[in-house]
Amino acid sequence: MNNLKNEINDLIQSIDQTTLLFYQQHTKEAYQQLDQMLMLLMQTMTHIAEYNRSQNIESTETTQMNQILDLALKALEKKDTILFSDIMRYELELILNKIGNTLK
Amino acid sequence: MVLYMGIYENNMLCMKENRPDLYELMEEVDLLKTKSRVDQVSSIQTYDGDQALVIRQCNQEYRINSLYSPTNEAHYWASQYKFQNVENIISLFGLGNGIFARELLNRLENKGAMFIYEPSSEVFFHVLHNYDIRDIIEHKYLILAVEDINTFDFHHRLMNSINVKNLRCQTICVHPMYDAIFQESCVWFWKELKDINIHAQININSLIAFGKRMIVNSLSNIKYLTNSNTILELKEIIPEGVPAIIVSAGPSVRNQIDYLKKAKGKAVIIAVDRIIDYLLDQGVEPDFVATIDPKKPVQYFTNRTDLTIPLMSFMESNYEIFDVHKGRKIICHCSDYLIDIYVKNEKTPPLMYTGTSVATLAFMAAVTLGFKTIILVGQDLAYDGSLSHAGSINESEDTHRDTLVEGIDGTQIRSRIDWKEFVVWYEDMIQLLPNVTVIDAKDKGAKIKGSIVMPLKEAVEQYCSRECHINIEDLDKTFDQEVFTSIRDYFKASIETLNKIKAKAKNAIKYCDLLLKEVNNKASKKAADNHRKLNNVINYIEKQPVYRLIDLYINASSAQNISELYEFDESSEDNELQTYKKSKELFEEILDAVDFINSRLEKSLEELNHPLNQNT
Repeated sequence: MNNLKNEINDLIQSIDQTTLLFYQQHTKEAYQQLDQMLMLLMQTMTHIAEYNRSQNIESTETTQMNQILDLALKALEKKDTILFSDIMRYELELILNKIGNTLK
Repeated sequence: MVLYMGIYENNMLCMKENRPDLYELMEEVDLLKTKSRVDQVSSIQTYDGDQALVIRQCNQEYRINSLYSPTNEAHYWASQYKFQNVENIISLFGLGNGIFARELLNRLENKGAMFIYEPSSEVFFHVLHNYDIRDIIEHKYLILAVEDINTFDFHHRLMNSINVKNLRCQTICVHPMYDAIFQESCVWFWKELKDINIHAQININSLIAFGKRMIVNSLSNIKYLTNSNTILELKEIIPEGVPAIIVSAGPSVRNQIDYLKKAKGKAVIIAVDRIIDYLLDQGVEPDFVATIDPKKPVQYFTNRTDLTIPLMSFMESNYEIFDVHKGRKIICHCSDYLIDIYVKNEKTPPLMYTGTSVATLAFMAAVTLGFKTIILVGQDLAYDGSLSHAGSINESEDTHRDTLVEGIDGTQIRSRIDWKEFVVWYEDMIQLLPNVTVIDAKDKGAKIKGSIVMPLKEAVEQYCSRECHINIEDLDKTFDQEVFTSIRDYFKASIETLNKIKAKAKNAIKYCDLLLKEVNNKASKKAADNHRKLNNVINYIEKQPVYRLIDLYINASSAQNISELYEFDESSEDNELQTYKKSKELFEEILDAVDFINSRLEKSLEELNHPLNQNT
């Protein structure tokens, strides 16, 4: 569980770093970091799902995260890197923090 | 009763109080004629209750700010910029709704100035109507230029702000999305910055090349003060209603001689140094000749030994030319050090500023003298085939300094980097002097925007109809022999002060050494004491009139050192180490400056003590 908490913290940090690069208009560097961030994101979401199953937790957060990611990636497709960054920071991080806080 | 004022009214009132020139120009702008026309400008509400600017251009919509939190976005964006230097210069392309600019200004903390160029007057007006930007409008360290309203302000103010102290302390920013929306203007912005920095570097290079020689020149030329007038005094004998003709040394002068002869006696003709012999050989005697170059070879001035045509110049111009010239000197700039001589003798010191060429000096002299029409002859500012100057003078090609400029026929023609600088200088002057008509009397050469290209024949027919004759003997000289008494006293006092400065500079070097040892022990009383003593030395030196010569010397020999002194990085310990090391080097330069200036002052005193210069 501590591992999952740390993983969530690492993910939040990665999101912060990547989105900061987008906010600062360092788009090339941001895209280079984005791959890593997305891999970490997928990994963390998988581990969250596994944790919920192991604890018999019925959580809507995973569904919410998927919806948020959907919106974020649509923004990225339209090259709206600021909207993508906003969604990651203000929506996704909110849920990640919520999940992290509920972990016993 | 409280009068409600909306956002626009508040912004405009603030504009009127703080930027009256921009305010006046804004009243005249016609939005239908502006270049960067956008399809639509609007604002939308963001999730945090703020507003985001939206620009529609070529059927594409650009949201300029974050939909969630524009303030946070601006904060994250601005956090990449650190303004640690003593004097920072920020150039920002795009005001937008002001939110990014505001963040930069907060980070700047009045340690420098910010220059904003907004490429769209439509966006600007929309923002004035919808966003309270009074804090930006009234910011005293912000220069705001809007395309099609006061574009020139950005160029002119930034050009005059970059110097040896802040050349390396510049930060250039582009408002997010603005480079995509306003591509053409963005290219112009970058080109402007490049040109302005080239200009600054040229000025610094001139200082390095000529600084010490300028000291020698001004101290040597002082003996001619009893045969001089200031440019302002010259106004007394300049007739009204006639034009000034500035004759430069471009190859096109060869074809203009007959018309110059016709203009003689109906215009005031000012010739640059390089063309004087050619004109006299052709039978054209100008009313004045001008020189500025501190090291101009005498053979580029005259081969004559009896030249008495009054000489317009700076005190810092080449003393060898002053010696060869036998007539009245018209002092356009007396040098900062010699201001006190004029003031102590109750005369107005001449302090005319100009560009770096002799033709620009002649032009500014004409402006100072009140001429409303100035005709440029021979100001080709481009090669004519292989010729660079009239009289078949051919300076060899140099691919490092050659460049292309727009010709008067619209084609690109070969010129030089320094000539291109002069083109820009003239264009700036024409903008700053809307009441002066500038005629460019040539049939080929570089185009000077704002000037009227007209054959000299036509210009003479149109503007040279009134008789005028100037006799310099009608004008009393500024000084009589008695001035030498006050000059001698001034020099003796300077020598005394220099000896004191030498002693203090030696002490300052010791304080720097002690401070370098104590840099890790900031709290020590000794460190604070040495710091205070160092500051006292600096304050003493800077207050002395002779410091103006020391400043010239060390700017010339230590331009690199000076620019590094004002540049800081992130480590405060490294910054302190650097400051004390560089300061020590500068005080060592001051010791050299003192010896150099002392020897020159002694030499000048000898010349002033010559029997010819004694009181009768």
